[in-house]
Amino acid sequence: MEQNAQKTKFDLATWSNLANIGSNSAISGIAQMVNQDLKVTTFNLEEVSMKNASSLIGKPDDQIVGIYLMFTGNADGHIMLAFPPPTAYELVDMAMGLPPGSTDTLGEMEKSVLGEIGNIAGSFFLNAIADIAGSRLSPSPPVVVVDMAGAIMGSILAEVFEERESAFAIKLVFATPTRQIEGRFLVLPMSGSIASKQEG
Amino acid sequence: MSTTVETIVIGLGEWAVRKNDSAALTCVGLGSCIALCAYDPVSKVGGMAHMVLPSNESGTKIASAKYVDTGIPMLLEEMKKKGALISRTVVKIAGGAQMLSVPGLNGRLNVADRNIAATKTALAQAGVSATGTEVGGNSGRTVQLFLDTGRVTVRATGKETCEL
Amino acid sequence: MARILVVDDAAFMRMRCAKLLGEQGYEVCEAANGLEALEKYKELGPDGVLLDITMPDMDGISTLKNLLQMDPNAKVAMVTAMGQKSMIIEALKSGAKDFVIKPFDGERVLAAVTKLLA
Repeated sequence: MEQNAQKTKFDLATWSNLANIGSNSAISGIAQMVNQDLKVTTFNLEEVSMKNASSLIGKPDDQIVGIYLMFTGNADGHIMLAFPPPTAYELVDMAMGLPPGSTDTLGEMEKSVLGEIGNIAGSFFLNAIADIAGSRLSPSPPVVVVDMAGAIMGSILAEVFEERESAFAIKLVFATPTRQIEGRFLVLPMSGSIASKQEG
Repeated sequence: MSTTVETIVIGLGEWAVRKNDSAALTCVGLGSCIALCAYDPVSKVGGMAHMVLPSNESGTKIASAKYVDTGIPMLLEEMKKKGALISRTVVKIAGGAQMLSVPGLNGRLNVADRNIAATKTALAQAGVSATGTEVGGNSGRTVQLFLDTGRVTVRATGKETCEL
Repeated sequence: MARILVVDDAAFMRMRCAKLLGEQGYEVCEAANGLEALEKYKELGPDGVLLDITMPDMDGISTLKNLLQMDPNAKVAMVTAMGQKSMIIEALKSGAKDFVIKPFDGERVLAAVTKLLA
């Protein structure tokens, strides 16, 4: 199956059409894993500077739980799912079917649960886009990290902004109806023409 | 510690040099980035740069604090212009933490170590050595340079604030 | 009772599968990555394999191909969030007997195992 992967400049028009679909798919995946009614409350596809990008998942010194994965294939980039620590604990309880309040630290199993939530969200986002555009987008295994939002974003931004001063970010906030659970999902595409329909 | 000290946040790729100031230059949430703090206690000139990448590989000549190789000479030059003597200037560095390691992909997102190496090289080229270093590891840091005294503090995630 | 090898880099997923299959009387062994999967397959000779795709170093499709090279009769079902058409086609063409999308329904996984062992 030949795929003509031309790493071209960021294809905004195509990405904005697909990002919405991918976003809803990602959030539905999380909703399935934790058995909650989750909906996208805000969706943005915007051009950001490096300095502003460090606040995309929270204020630079906000303590957050980040689940990160990178993707490669017809396009490449970064995906980050972020929650405040108390929300992350609740999600672990929900995914594992434990009574609320059971989880209060993130050990290996808890991180694995969160990693899997990130894997599902990222994969669903990529699947929705890839199938419509006739591409292949492969996610890496997830990484779970707990630290300041600015610190977590740093090395990603170093890659994204290595040769440019502005970049496109797909950012959504999603929540349960009561906003008891609220999180952020961020996609930073790096390069690649996502609309590569293979011929034959 | 006085709570009325003005905090000036130095964001990614930014830098500042002040003379006879009483504010605290601050880098918040340093991951792989390097914060360079420089202070001449005699002339009371102090500066901070928040550097993101080791060098500019794109070929376009941009003098910027985003890159360690241009940021450090630029900061020291500005310090001199404002009356600092480099021989008296105290330099401290913090940051360069490896925050994300993707299983199976060891070569990616490794800018932290490259930033530390580039910083040491640039300082050596400028004939300056850092008297305080808090680099490496896997934790985020917030760094402050108090311009009235030159005091530098570092707070790493999960640890108490300490003086560098 | 039949022995199933569960391959997934997520401890959480291995635990869920082990519990689900164990409750039905299957004997379960686990591997956290492709290399370990090949070793365990050789060592334990399971009757069926549940295989993730997104794993470090050797991904699931490569693991599948290596497994089948080792044992052309290996019975493997993919269990993964990676449901892109090109991947499903590649996995099935490469010899996977089934393709289960995560998050999985317990019944779906059990049905996949039953189909593998049939």
